[in-house]
Amino acid sequence: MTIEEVDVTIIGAGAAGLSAAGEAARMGARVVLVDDNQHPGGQYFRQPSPQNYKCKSLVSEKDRHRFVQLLKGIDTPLVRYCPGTTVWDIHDQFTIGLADGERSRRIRSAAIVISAGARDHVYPFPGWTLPGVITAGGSQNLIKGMGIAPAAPVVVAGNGPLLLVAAANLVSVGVEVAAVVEASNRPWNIVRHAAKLIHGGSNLGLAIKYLKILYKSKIPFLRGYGVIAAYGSECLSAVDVAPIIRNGKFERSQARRITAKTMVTGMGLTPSLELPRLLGLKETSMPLRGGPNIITNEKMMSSVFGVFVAGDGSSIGGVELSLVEGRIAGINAAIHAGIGASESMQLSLTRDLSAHRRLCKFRSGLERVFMNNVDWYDLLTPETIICRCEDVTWGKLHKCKEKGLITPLQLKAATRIGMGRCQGRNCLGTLAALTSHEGDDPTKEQEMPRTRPPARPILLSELLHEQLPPPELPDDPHLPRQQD
Amino acid sequence: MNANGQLNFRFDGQEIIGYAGESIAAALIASGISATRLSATGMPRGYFCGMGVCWECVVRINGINTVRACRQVVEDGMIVETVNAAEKL
Repeated sequence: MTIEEVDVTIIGAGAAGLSAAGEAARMGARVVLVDDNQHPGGQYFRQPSPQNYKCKSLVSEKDRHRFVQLLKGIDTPLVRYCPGTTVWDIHDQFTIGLADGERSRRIRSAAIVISAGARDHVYPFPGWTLPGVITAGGSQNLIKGMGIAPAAPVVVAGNGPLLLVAAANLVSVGVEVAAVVEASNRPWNIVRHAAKLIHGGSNLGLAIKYLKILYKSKIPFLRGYGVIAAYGSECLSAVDVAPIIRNGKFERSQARRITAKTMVTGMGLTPSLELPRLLGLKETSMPLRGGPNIITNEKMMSSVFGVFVAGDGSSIGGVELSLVEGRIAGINAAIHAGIGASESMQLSLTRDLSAHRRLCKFRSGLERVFMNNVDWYDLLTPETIICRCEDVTWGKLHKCKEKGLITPLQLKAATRIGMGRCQGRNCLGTLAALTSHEGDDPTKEQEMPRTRPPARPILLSELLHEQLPPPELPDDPHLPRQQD
Repeated sequence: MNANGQLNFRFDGQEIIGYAGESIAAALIASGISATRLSATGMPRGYFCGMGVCWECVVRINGINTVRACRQVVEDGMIVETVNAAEKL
């Protein structure tokens, strides 16, 4: 059994991955495009699949056209597209382990592009585990991908541009939205940052469209508010909202209740860093861009030679930036694999780099519009679940702390926080924040639970069916010493 | 499956109508069902992230305990059940 070898492996077939694969193939590179989803497009270009699609389509003509172009880009014998395939290991920087539901196998390549996307960031609050509380991304997927509306009335609450998109889309398909609750009190303050926002081009037009939809719908729009608790027995029935005061705390005395069967929430997105962390790629903290970000250079190459990271899987920037970063990464990965760039490719790279600079300016403008100093951890009560998989509450963690267990690793060992099926994706960010919050030495970096393979849960049968060359085992120290 | 792409499956014994291409989670939400799992301490849970990350929508399908309802498409005659995380498997 030999390991398959290609020029470039691209992980994730979303906006960044598809454009990276297209460009690398245009250069003449042999590409494997691995995607965990069954269909290409990632979250943004998710295609409606069911036959009873009830909602009106929200996909613009422009996006429909762009998606067709992206698919054309990978429709070449040079690109092998592997849907429904999970990358569970990166053994060294160039050999990945993948599992397709049947068996695990390995692919070795000269360069890797990680474009694994992002997920919603949700801070815990009382009642956030109730059925009916869903993420902004989850709401988008229901409407855009399945044509199904969540149960009404809906409260949309949190922070950031995706929240407004989710709210506008719910309104567009005719769902009863009881209120939109945005933590920042300046989402309309676009004028102040107009100089930066103007670089957004079509992004800006889209933002105005969404705001218009919300304005016209006359839905109560609470600015500088947040949901402080969700209630219900079997599922969500109501939420309490309260204003956020100057110091970022919630003014509970002014709380009021809103009836809701669904709460759509999200406090922005955070990059999916499991694979970068398996490789130990250097990170930097960018609170406005989803927290931990991967450090990349102008080629989109990470701190590890030959490993490129593009799109929201590196730093949150949205679909336009992802498309551009994907193209830059795709071209550079092919060059890294030893393929020469023609003059026209060089030209297109230069164009992409200037588009990248322009979009980055827009991004920082948008970040200012939604910036806030909310202390989301002010909402925690002893009963609030922190780790959803293992049902670890804030009170339980606090009790452990009183016994002297203060570091993330100690708390994990004592409570199983982060050891469930989501592998800490829901709770480790919170754990990091809560332990550094009250730590003695804020300059000392917390030692967090390490990411280990499998990067995502896979079946034991997939591993059992893997055919590998016989391993080169070290001498067994327990064997009797050989007599010379 | 009939001409409209309509399929039938059961959730905890209840007949549910789904459509070809639809996820189990979407079909259940369309039928007004949001709680599909019991957590380690017996709390009801359901569809949360919608993209296969959070594992909150895990259900038992045809006896397999670890299927994410948001990622599994509806098939005719599927037996879907609530998973109780506290139950010994």
